[in-house]
Amino acid sequence: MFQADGRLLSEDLQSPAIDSDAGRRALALTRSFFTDRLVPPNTSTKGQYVDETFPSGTIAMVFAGDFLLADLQQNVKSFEYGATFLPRDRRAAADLGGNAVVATKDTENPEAAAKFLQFLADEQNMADFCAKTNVLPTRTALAGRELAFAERPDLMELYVQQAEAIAPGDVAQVTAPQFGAINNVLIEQLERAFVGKADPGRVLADMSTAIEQQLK
Amino acid sequence: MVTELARPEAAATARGPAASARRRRRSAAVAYLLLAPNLLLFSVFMIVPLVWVVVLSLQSYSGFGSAEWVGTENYTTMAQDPVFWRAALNTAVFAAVTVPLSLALGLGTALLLNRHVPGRGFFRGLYYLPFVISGVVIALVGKWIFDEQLGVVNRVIRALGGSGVGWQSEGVPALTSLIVMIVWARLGFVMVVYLAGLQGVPGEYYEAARVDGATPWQQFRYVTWPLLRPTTFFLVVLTVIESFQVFDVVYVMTRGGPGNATQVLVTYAYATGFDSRRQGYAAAIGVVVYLVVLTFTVLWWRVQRQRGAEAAP
Repeated sequence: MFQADGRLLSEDLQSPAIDSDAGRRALALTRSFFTDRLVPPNTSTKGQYVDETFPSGTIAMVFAGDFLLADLQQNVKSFEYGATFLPRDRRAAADLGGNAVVATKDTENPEAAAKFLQFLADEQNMADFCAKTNVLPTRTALAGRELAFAERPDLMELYVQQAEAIAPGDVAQVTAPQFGAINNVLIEQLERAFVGKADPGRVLADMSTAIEQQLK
Repeated sequence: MVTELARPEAAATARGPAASARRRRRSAAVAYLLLAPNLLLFSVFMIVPLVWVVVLSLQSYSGFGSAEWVGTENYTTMAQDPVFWRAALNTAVFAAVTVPLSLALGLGTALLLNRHVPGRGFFRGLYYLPFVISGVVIALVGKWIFDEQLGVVNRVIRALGGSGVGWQSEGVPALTSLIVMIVWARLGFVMVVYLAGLQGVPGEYYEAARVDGATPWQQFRYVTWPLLRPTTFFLVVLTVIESFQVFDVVYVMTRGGPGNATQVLVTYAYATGFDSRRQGYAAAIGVVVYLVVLTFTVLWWRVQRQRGAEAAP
């Protein structure tokens, strides 16, 4: 969607923006993976993870986040593998991934919560955590710093470059407070388009209505 | 004399009820004292969560911040929610297929292993094994067998020249794979209960039937089956209740997919409560499951009580 230069939510993040030309293009392309039998049919949004099918050699390519490298290193035994950038349409884009750590303002122990968040976001702690678990840091202070990644540091360089395509506007949409519920809408509706053989136009319209309900 | 005789009697009648009431109170106090640890655990882990779920079902709550009171809105939303009805239908179909299937196979196995066959103890243990294994392990075995790409079944089919079955990408095969695993897991328990039932059937009945010239099928039809009726009824109720509570195997094997083809009530409640974070709505689904299970439990309890009353002299 972002690669097609589309938006999931409007600029003010108050309404859905997915039922658009970019949305139709993005859905048609991803749906064609299934209709043209380019991907195993059981790898749709509710299906199986691909971290077993790639190491077994059943599929030749996989969209895999940096966090999967440790598993791949352990499980890929019979071939060598490399990585390249994500495909692009109008622009390059990447997903931030991960989940947000949240403390509510009404928490009973605000000081302890703040201290814990500070501990998690501490520059050195984040650097150590990211290096050991093979994920990219979210602190801008760590952007230029070279981390000693535990697995495939050669590929991690590429992941760092790909992450440069993460645009703040995209991040704002996938970190909206309602994104958890919206993500569930995406899972349900995309499954209909990918394996349910539902009409893509209908799916986009239903997706838009369901996202609107979540934003209320 | 009369008064003298009357006095102790009067004293006894006056002391009697009071003393017996005291005795009753004391024995009740001891009984409650002994029950206290159980009652405490039952209240903490059953009553409190149950009341909590009912209260939560009347609220809109995401798990963060404060809840908002919405009355019966969750229930009215549920009545119009097609996914809920799909999950309810799937659960009913699931129960309608797995219950008779597990009972038939369990009874067949029990009949077989009630005879003097070599390695009887080993086979009884082998069939019972899946029942004591965690549901997640059962599901992982199911994934290993039925995975569309890497599973044993599809590998065999492909080796024989076929194209494989869409165990995760097509609704009917997905539901079939779940039914197979659940029936396999439940078979041992049904077998053991039937074995206990079979051992309660007096051998004289079979002797009498054989003297009358009954064939093995007639012995089963007119002796075994009628005498196993209470066992069968017990198993039907229990397995129906279990079918309405199924979660782990479905969640691990199909996550309710493809689409909502294998979505059952509990997986839908989980997805609603923890993926969509609509915990009030998820609690309302939980209340519906609870009411269905309660209905079957009351039905079982009433029939058992009726039978007990009929059996009493």
